[in-house]
Amino acid sequence: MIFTSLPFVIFFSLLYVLLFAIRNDIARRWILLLASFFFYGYWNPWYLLLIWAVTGWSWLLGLYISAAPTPRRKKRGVAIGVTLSLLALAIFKYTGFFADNVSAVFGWRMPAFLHDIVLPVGISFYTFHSISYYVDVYRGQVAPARSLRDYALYIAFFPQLVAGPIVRASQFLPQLLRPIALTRAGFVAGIRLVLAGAVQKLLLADQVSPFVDQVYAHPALYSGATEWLAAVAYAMQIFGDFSGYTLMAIGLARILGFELPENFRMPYISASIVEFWRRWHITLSFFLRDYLYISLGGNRSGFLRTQANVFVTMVLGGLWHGASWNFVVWGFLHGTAIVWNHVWKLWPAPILGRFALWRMFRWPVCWTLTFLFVTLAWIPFRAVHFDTTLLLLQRMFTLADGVRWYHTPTLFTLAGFVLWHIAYLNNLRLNLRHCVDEYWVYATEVASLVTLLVMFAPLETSPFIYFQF
Amino acid sequence: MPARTGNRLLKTGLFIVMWVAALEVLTRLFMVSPSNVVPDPALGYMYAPNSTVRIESADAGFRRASFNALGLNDWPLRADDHRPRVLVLGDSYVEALQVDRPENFIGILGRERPALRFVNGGRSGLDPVTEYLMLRKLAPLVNPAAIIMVENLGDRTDLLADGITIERCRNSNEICNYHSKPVPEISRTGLVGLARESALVTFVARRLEEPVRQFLAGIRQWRSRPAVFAESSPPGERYTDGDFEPLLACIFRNIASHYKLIIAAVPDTDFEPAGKSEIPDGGKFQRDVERAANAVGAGYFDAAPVLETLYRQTGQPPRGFAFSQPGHGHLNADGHAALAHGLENQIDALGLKVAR
Repeated sequence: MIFTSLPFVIFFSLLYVLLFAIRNDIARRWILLLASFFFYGYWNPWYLLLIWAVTGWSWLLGLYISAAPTPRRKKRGVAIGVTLSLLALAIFKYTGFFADNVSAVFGWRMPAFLHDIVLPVGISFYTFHSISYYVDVYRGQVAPARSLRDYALYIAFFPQLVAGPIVRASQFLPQLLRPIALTRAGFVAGIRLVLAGAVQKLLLADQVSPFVDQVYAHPALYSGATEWLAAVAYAMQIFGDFSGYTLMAIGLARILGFELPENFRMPYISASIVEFWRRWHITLSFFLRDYLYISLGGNRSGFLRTQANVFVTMVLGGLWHGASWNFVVWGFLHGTAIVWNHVWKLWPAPILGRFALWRMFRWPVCWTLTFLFVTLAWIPFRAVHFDTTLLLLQRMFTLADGVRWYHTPTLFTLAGFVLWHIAYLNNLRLNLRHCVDEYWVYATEVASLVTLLVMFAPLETSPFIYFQF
Repeated sequence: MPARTGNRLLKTGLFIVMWVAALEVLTRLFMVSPSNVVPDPALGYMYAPNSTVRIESADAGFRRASFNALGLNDWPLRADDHRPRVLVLGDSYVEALQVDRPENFIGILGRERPALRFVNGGRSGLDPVTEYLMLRKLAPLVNPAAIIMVENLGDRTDLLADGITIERCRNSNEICNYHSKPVPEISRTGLVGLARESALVTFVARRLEEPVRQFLAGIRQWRSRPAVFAESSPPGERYTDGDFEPLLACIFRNIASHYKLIIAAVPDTDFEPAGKSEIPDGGKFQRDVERAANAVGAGYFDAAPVLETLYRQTGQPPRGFAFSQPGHGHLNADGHAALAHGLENQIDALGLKVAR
């Protein structure tokens, strides 16, 4: 049941009407929790057992960590909790990957069932939610949830359950300390976000996905230039897909009276890879920083150790995305780039900064290099096999001959995408609120988005990319 | 009703009216024209005579198309033009709304063989039976000296699975009557009148037609309705793949008994890297069409070799467009050129002469 499907629209509409009709706060919480379980169980009811188990043990451990009399015991509680959550993730997500690699290295025949373990949707996200809970409780950033119902709602809250944003306990649980309020302002803002997210998903990502899928499926068929276009198109697609999803999640949560954190802030305007990670999947970046990088020692032990910590964090972040060497390579590339970025800031940048010519061209050069790097790094992320990555890179850099295909919808989408970014960079915003009544502005916005969706959205939408993670 | 709510409703109504009017104008300017489809009892629908419209082609994007007095994608037929006429029948491959008219194979043949007048009798969604009905409709108006029928793999699917009902004459292979299949066009809906006036309705109705049909089909547990013989056949008799060739031969016989006939087969070739290509069904479709053509003494032309040669030489597939996907869908301008040149020998062999 994806957000852009008819069953979800029906599900959410019924839920909203029900919540609106029932004014009792306790009843609303139960309805929201049951609806979240229904939403999750819609994929596969058996997955519910896992999410219930994670919810149960993490809730109990939260109480234990909070009540533990000594820091050592608290720490032990956190260690147990993190181990259990990561174990669940490892079993369901990485067993097949591990078995494949053991077979490849040692030539052992691994039992077939190890490859048959199905990855429950959203497990990467709700295990991170539980880890955030242990650590936040341990650090005293949030009080432990006394109510299992409220805690279960934090873990299973359906807008952010399957693909984020990664919401911390300290961001969500305090919102449950006050009654759930369905306000007109929340509804109006939420609808706007949901529609904007749907436009990003259906008009940006889904317009280019047939082109990208085809080129990545037949890397030897198309010309090098076409493959460059596909690489750029994938950069747009994954942004539109993931950013669109999280915007919709934030909007749906807003309609239901909850605030979720921002997850994307125009990442492709970044002029460095460090800036990129402050704009891309922000909740993951900050999660990795606060719960992994800092736990590894952060920047407390000198330059070299700091860079090693950054590198390890990014490689593990890559592996979190999927059980495949492709994702490890992607994390490795980004880790290397961030380390290089730090080295650059330390040495060549200050020297170059003395030259007026460099200062004049610094932003366009840095932006071009960053965008080029990010786009090329998406290739191993998207390609199913490593051979495909190498073949694509080889054909792109040799501008190999082949079928030339400049997919018209992709070119139009790219043009719109570029204009949107130029407008953002130049702070060009059509602000009519000073001269026209707020009602007309809102009506025009909503009508424009609905019109775009009805008239141009593809009739068959593809699943959200981040669902697989 | 409180005054505030009334005011808000009034504003909303006014806004919707203004918005729809603006969309109608924008749709007409940049996308499609109001529908020019008119219902036709035999063929489901035809295009309005002498109409010029903007259409949305699934693989070639938004295009302008004009239709002659017969509702065909062709130049006007002049009464004082006494050249022998060759009527070309087929589905959207022949209609060729994806390419400019001079670039489709009929336009090219017209230039290459100026002694003959080639008439484009193609229309989207036709199958061999409806092409025969199109011939019956056009024959008195066009008075063709020869017929070219272009068959592609989609014709087999259309013929066998689209719910057509055919009556065979008793004790004969001839088709006596044909009952229209459901036509997936807005001409079949109650929107037809509105669509003729509104570009927006036309555009949205065509976009939403398929998902709405699928949605309703899901509710009604839609069952496929394969083609069936009627009256002269045992009740419930249905076509299978094996019936394609004899049925095709039956249709060709109806035509070949009155006209010189050329059959062209255009298979769904897969175009692979390094100029290689492959025909997915191993050429069964072409063999079926060739046997049916041979059975009635019609000329036969297999387009596969010329299309494959073109791909080997240029590295660019002869079908597909930038809007959709190279190598799939309708023939592009290169494909039409190859088809036209491939057909020339067959046309010369007909020995058609200009009437004195």
